Amino acid sequence: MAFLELKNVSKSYGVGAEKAQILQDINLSVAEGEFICIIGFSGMGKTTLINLIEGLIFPDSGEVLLDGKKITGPGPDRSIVFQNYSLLPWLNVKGNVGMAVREVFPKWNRQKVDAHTKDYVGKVNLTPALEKKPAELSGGMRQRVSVARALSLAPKLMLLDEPLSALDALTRSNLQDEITRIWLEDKKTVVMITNSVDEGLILADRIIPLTLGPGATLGPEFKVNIPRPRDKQTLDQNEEYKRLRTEITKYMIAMNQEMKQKSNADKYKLPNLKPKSLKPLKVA
Amino acid sequence: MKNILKTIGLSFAAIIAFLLLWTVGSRALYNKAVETTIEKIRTTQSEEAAIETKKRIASGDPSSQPNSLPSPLFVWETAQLLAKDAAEVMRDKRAFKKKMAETNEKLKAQGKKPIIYTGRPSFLDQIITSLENILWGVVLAMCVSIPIGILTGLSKNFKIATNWFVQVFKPISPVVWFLLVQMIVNTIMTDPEGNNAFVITFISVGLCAMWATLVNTAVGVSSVDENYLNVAKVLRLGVGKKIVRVVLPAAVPLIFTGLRITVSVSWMVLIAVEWLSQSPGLGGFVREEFQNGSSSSNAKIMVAMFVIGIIGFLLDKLMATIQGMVSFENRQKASPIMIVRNLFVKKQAA
Repeated sequence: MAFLELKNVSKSYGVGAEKAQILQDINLSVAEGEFICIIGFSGMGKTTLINLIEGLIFPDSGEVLLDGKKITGPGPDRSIVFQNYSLLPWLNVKGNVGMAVREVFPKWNRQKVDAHTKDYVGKVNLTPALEKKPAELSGGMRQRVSVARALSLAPKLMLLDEPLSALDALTRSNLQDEITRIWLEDKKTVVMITNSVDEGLILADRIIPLTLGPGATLGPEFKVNIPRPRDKQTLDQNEEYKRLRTEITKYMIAMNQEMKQKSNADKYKLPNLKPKSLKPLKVA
Repeated sequence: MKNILKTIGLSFAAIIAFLLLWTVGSRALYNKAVETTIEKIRTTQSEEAAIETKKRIASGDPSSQPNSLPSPLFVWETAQLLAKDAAEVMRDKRAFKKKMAETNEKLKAQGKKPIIYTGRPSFLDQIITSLENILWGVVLAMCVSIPIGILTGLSKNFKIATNWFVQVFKPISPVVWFLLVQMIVNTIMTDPEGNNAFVITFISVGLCAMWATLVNTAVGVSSVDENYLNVAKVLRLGVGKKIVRVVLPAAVPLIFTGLRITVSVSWMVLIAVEWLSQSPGLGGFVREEFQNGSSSSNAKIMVAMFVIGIIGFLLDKLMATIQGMVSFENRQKASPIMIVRNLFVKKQAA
């Protein structure tokens, strides 16, 4: 049986004429230890999908099952890394991670919480910044704190909501390596949202595109059969990488064009008018 | 460094210009007052009496000087006199304490009240009294407005229920608050030796100045960043923990912005309330000098004015520093304390 299962999940916002169908008939099944990337255009409901799995919102119809049990709210078995870090600015790195640890392991004493916190901050290579506040950190460092916080909760399932989208290319690449390293170490199940095909190919076991909304659903999956560790320098020459990259990109472009045609059809037809003359009037 | 010099230079120039304007203005007003006095004597008495008065005024006899706007120099001299007087009173007090130490010890042993100094308060005592009044006023304002503000920010129903109350009471003048508080306090506190004036003063000041903190706290609590609330949700914090760990810390900068306004309003209102409540303090000092009407009264009032202004300025700077320390949004913005600390740290490193 699958570890995480979404069955015919639909979600809409608003009511009546304002009702916007975001997700429709989402079916997904993820095995334990798998790394899944969901890829899609912005504004199509990727974050809604992650929030459904986290239990921050609930589906209108269908169900989200984790280990065969229906999700009824956020829980310690899942942890989430938000796109915008969501660190509490009045706490330092240690405080931000430590607060989460204390909540999830309420029986631990202070030393144990401290040691655990330091351990996970170390995992994302931020030990020198333990006492720094988020405002004193760069975007990449903040995101690493957010990753450390999510990991420290020892979740069975990690949800990453475009964790690297706001970062520059170099930091992004570094963090991709770090995420791979940590994932290989802990072998947690990961569902990650991204907008980059390359990122998916570097990280994931499977890439699943989210089709265009309204009423977005999951498209055909692409299995990434590239052996790990995936070395970025030689990945360019990998035949499988090249094939998948072309295929997925083609699929995404086709989808994009489809949407453009759709939206063009909705437009009003303009009357065929031409201005009489653009020459300036002669002033006598 | 260049900027500091520029700031100092420009401020200095502005002060000189201000003093010049003041000197010229006060001289003109003084001349006008002298003329009016002499003219009055000429019409009501005789030409000789007028000439006599003119001579007396010109001789510099203090009792014959007309009361008008005092010159900067006169205010400065008065300030020095007040300082000297304060030192004298302090010495007096110390001597009194020394003299009475033994007697008081005996009285204490007998279970009687010790004899306390009952001499007139110096200008310094008045300042301290005023600072005490404002301290209690602000503490009261905090104790009332922060909890109510948190409730208002958290509960929509509470906000609906109390909104009219806040809107109606917020614009009420300190004078009216004073009268209201006086009605209640004087009914409750009937002990003739009780310090009613002090109680009335700080309660009026507190009630008058608390609204800024109340409104800011409510706004701060109700507008916590969605991202922070998501953290609370994901960690499954209970209501109490959510408020203590997430909502309140997030609202702290706005609460302190409100407190800063509360402190400056308190200080502004305090002088008027002290005047009305017959309480000692700077307001009381100004009232006494106003009723006294001696030749140096106006100058003393001017000294009090400057002291009030400078203390108000310092209080605001203090609050701004605290505000900067608790704000997490713009940590780069240097607060005075940080500047001093940085200087110190650099010196140590060098």
